[in-house]
Amino acid sequence: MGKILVADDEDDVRFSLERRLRRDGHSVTIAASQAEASQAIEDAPVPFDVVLTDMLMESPNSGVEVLKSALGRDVFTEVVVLTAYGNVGNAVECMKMGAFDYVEKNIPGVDVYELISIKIEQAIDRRRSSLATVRRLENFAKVREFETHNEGG
Amino acid sequence: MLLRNRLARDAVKSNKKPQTLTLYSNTVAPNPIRRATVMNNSLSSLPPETAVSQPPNDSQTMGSLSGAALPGAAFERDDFDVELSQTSLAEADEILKATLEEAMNAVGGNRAFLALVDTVSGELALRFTAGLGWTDDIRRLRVNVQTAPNGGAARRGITRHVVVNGRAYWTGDVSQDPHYIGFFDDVKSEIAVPILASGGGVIGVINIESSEGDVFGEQHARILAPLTRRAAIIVAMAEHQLREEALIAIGRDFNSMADLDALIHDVVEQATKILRADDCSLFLMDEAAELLELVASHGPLEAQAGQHTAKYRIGEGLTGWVAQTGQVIRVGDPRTDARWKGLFMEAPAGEIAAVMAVPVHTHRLKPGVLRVVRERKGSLYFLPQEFTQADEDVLVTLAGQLAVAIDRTRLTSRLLNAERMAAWGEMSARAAHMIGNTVFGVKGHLNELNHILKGKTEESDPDWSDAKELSSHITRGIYRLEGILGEFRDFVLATQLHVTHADANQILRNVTAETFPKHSNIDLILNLSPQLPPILADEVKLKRAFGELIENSIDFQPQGGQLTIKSGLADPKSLAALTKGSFAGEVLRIDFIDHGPGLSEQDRHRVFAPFYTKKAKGMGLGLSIVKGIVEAHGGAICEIGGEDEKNPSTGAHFVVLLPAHSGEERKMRSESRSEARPPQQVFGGG
Repeated sequence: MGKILVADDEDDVRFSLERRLRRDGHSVTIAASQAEASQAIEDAPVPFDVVLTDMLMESPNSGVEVLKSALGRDVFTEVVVLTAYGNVGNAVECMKMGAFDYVEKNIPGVDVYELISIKIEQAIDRRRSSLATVRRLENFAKVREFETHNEGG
Repeated sequence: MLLRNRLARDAVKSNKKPQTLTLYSNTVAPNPIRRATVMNNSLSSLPPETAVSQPPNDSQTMGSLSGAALPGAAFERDDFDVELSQTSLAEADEILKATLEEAMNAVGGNRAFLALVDTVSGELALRFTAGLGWTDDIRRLRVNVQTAPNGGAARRGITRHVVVNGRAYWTGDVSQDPHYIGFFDDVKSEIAVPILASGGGVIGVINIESSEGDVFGEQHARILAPLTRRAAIIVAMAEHQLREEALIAIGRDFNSMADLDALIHDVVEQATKILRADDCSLFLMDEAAELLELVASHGPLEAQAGQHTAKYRIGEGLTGWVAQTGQVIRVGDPRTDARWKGLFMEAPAGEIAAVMAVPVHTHRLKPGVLRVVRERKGSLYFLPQEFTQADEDVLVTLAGQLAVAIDRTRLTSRLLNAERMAAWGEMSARAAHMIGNTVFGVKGHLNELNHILKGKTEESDPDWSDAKELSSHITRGIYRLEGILGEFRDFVLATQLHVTHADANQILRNVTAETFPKHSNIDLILNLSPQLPPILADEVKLKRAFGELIENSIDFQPQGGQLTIKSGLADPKSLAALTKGSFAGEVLRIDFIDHGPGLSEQDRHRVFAPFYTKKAKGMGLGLSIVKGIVEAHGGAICEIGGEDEKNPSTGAHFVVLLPAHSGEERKMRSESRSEARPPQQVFGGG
């Protein structure tokens, strides 16, 4: 399905997310820190479709940094930010900078893994549609170029 | 450390036996005389030959003893941790000794003693002797004047006779004298003159003997009069000095004792001694500023201190009167005073000789009361009937210092509390974050486990249904844990504020616009007072608090009703009734009044406690968070529904109090805010 990077400094969280997303059929890479995540984004032969990153790792703004790395590599990579419940201040910042969405980790009474699973699907869809749009635009541009060329020639 | 302990330690260290000063009996001149003045001027200008202007047996001067104000208890050195100025007290001794010698020589006696009253025991003690033949055994003799004269034939001594009558007495033939009791066999004549306190009471006697017969007369009594006055001044001076040093010692305590209770206890104990009272009690206003409660006492009331049993209403009795008027009371027999009610006295009414009470002006709206009581017991002749102006000055001083100490302790504890809360909040936030992450991880594991279980059936594994049940228990537990954690985090975050200058009315308008449903069967009445001073507030948090109150009100009126939100300045009177009087300056008051079921008396006190709820949803942290937010703003919240006598049908009625922010910004704000909003706006309605 999709190529996903999971960045979280909690072993339990990484383990569970990786397992869940694999189960959903995704190809999952994991990173245990902001630095590892940025490195993985840079090193990946093909850009990730979705990056799922914790907000607070080395610094309270780690999520923002991972977002920058991801968009720097591929502007159509979708980023979902995990944040502590009730602490959405910088997650909203990420949204303004182009993140797909944020998910609060401990929303009472909610199966957040299910929520994440859905968000990832949605993110993959948007990436696909974005890429499709770009492809169409590119094709359109090619056709225009061909026509112009032919008219001129 | 208590004074007494310190002194005991010092006494051991210096290996000095504490000097008992009981002999400096206890009269203080109405106008304190500084030692230096007495020593340098008055005394040196008082030669013994000074003409006698008022004969001691002049009945006008001597009067009777009936109104004589004499002190009750005496100082003991070990009552006070004072570096007693040994030199000045020694000087006093020297002067008294010299005075006695002068007196003896002036009237031509050959043996003399100066006795002073020990007002604790009611005895006269031979303080100084002059002439030959005195032994320590004789010096240790005490003249007991405590028992009432029985008028019988038994001789009780000339000295005692002088004390009782307050007049000079002489005899030319002791063997025929009805009063005389002798120490020596060779005595023929004797003259005794009283040493009178400025109040007129007898504090001692100078007694001179002669081995010749019939040598003393009225002229000798006149010669002795100025000497007895000098002795009286010296005694008063020494007394005053001791009192002053005791006060300084207490003052030092005020600065050094951290434990307010111990300090208060020490002060009432010392005040009892300094003022020669039988009880000293401190009453302070309770939190609602309605009742005076006994806080500490030294004396018969001690057992009731802090028991919430000894209380006065404002204006009730002498003590209540002091709290009401802020004035001092100083009376003799309290039964003769119209204000007296006879409540919580330290002794039966007939045994109370004098009452003095002064206000203790702390931060509270009404002052507390520091009160001393003297019982009518002990020596009939020496006990004073009333407290003096000097006593009043002492008590007023102590009350002032106590008030400062009480206020200071309150501020310190508030500061400590704030710091503790900040540290606690930070730690809790961290802990909540870590627990949250772990719970999130475990939840993930559990999801995977459930997924695995979903793929199995009873046929494939006999334990399948057990495992499924266990898993669902764990899931429920984890979800519950997460719920608690969420509320807990809210609670912690509630107190971490980012404050800016804010307009409470604007916050209320915003929050009602955001929270209150557009179409509701509940009438919302906003009654906002224009021109409110600004507050320092975290608008987001405050909106959340107000929103919670609004949502509560909506939830509890499912059939429709009314919610009135009022804002205005709190008037000081209602403020005192609502809070512990911990506000200084202007306070904003915001009322949320609905027509829901309201709260029972019992619920009213629990409603702000964490995890208390009457609603089906939520963990019940809602109002505790509201309280946390309001208190973090330096404010207070309470529920007074049903207490509104004008409108008894009212449901819940929450009152939020927030301190106004004064200062320059405030001035600028109120100037820039020129438009006055209409006081009442009605929204909603169905």
